[in-house]
Parts: sequence; C-alpha cells; structure tokens
Amino acid sequence: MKDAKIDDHDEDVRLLRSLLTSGEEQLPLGMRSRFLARLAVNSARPLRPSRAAAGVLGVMAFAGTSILTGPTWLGLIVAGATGLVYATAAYPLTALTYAPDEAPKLGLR
Amino acid sequence: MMDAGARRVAAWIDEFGPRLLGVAGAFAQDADDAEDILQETWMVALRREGCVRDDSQVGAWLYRIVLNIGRSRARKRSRRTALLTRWFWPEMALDAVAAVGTPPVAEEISTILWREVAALPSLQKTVLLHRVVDEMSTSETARAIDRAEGTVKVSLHRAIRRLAVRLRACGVDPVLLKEMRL
Repeated sequence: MKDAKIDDHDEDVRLLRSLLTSGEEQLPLGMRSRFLARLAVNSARPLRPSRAAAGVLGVMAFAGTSILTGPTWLGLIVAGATGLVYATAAYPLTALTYAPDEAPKLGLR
Repeated sequence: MMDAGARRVAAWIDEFGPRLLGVAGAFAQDADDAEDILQETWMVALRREGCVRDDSQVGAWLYRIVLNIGRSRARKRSRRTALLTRWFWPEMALDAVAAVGTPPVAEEISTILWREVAALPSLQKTVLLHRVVDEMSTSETARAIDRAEGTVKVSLHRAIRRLAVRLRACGVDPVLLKEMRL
C-alpha cells in the first residue's frame, strides 16, 4: 500500500523538537567537571595496546615459533618477548584494541 | 592538558550535554546510570571525533551514539531482570503486569519517545535526528546522507507514523496525537 500524504512534516518535526530536545540549560553540579576530567585523562594518554591484544600476539608468536622450530622453550621465550615488546611499544597499533583504562593498571605511561 | 580532539569534544559537552543527559535518562535506572551512559558517549566521541568533518551534523551523530549505548544497556538490564524474575522473584512479574495500561504522565512521554526513536530502523532514525536535532531541511538532510529527497520524506513519514502508533499504544493523550496530525 502506497503511503499517502508524504510531505515535509514540518509541524510534526517542530512538535517533536519541543518534546525531545527541551531540558536543563546546564549539566548538574560536578557532572561537567567529571566529564572533562575523564576527557583530559584519556586524551593525554597515548594509544596503548590492551592486555588481551598482547596476549593474543604472544600466543600467536609461541605457536608460530614452536611449529616452525620445534622446541617449546624457544616458543615460550619468543612469546614472552613479543608480548613484552608489544605491551611497552611507544607506537600506536590502531588495528588492535585500544583500552585507555587498562594502561594505569599495567603501570605503563 | 587536552589535544585538539579532546577540546572539540569538551565543546560538545557544553553544547549538547544537558539535552543528551535527558536522552540518557530515558534508558537509565537512576541519575548515576544516566551519567555513566553519557560518560561512555563522550569516550566514544573522543575516539571517533576525527570522523566528524561537518559540525552541522554533530548533534545527530551524538544523539545516535547515546541512543545506541542507552538501548544496549536497557536490553542487557531487561534480560538480566527477566532471568532473575523467572527464577528467583516471580512475584515481580505480577507487579509488572499490573503497571501495564496505566496512562503515562506528561514527563514520561519524552522517555517513551526516546526509547521508540532508539528502536527505529537506521535510516528512519538518522533522518529523524537530522531533522529534529540538527534542524536540517529535507534537502539538507538528503545531501547529508547522500539520498534522494523523496527517500528522506518517506523515511520521516514512516518514522513519525510509527512513533504515533507507539504513543497511542501507551495511552498518550489524543490531543497530542491530533497536533501531530496522525
């Protein structure tokens, strides 16, 4: 069934605007400062890979090394070194998870 | 110390924060929950602010983020509540049934509307937000979303009709519906 009376609905839009976008002129006391504080913390922190991403890379490195070279101990060393290097890397790897809140827990800056 | 992106988001907090708090409240259990929803919104905005090239469309973009976050949280909460009710507190289900059918008070209409807007199909929601929040005309909206004007008109028409049906189902005052010409 074809929709009838398709117009711009300007009056309906004005009514919806008055119903939906009216509200307080300012945020409650303290809320604005909390938002800005969190914003400042997250913007100042450089991109860091998450622990989950470091773990995934470590497992992949371990599996790859063990398969290619044989010794499990060598795979463990490579996996550990890979995870450590990745977790402390200074350059951002935007393809992987960005978890700004995890960096302080790891003691990384 | 903030970088340029964070300063941009800080300006959005001042401009849109109070209104977005009202939207977050439609999905929140209390004031703290609403603040959490809004806090998560700003973090998403900070991560993706580089994608917003046209400041005239940032309002609708922010509203979409908070609607998605709010709706996701409300769904998780209702699933959790349903599970708990079923297994531990079945008497809660009886209270919920008794509440259905009671006409909402005026301040609840905004809450109902926001929840229904969040449930709209993506195109209808985008068009509605551009028209209502960003105050764009039909032609401006069509250019913003790269669609024909006819598509914008049809999407808006269907969105408004759907909202009216849902309001009627919730027992909203018919005078309000007459004003919406539906």
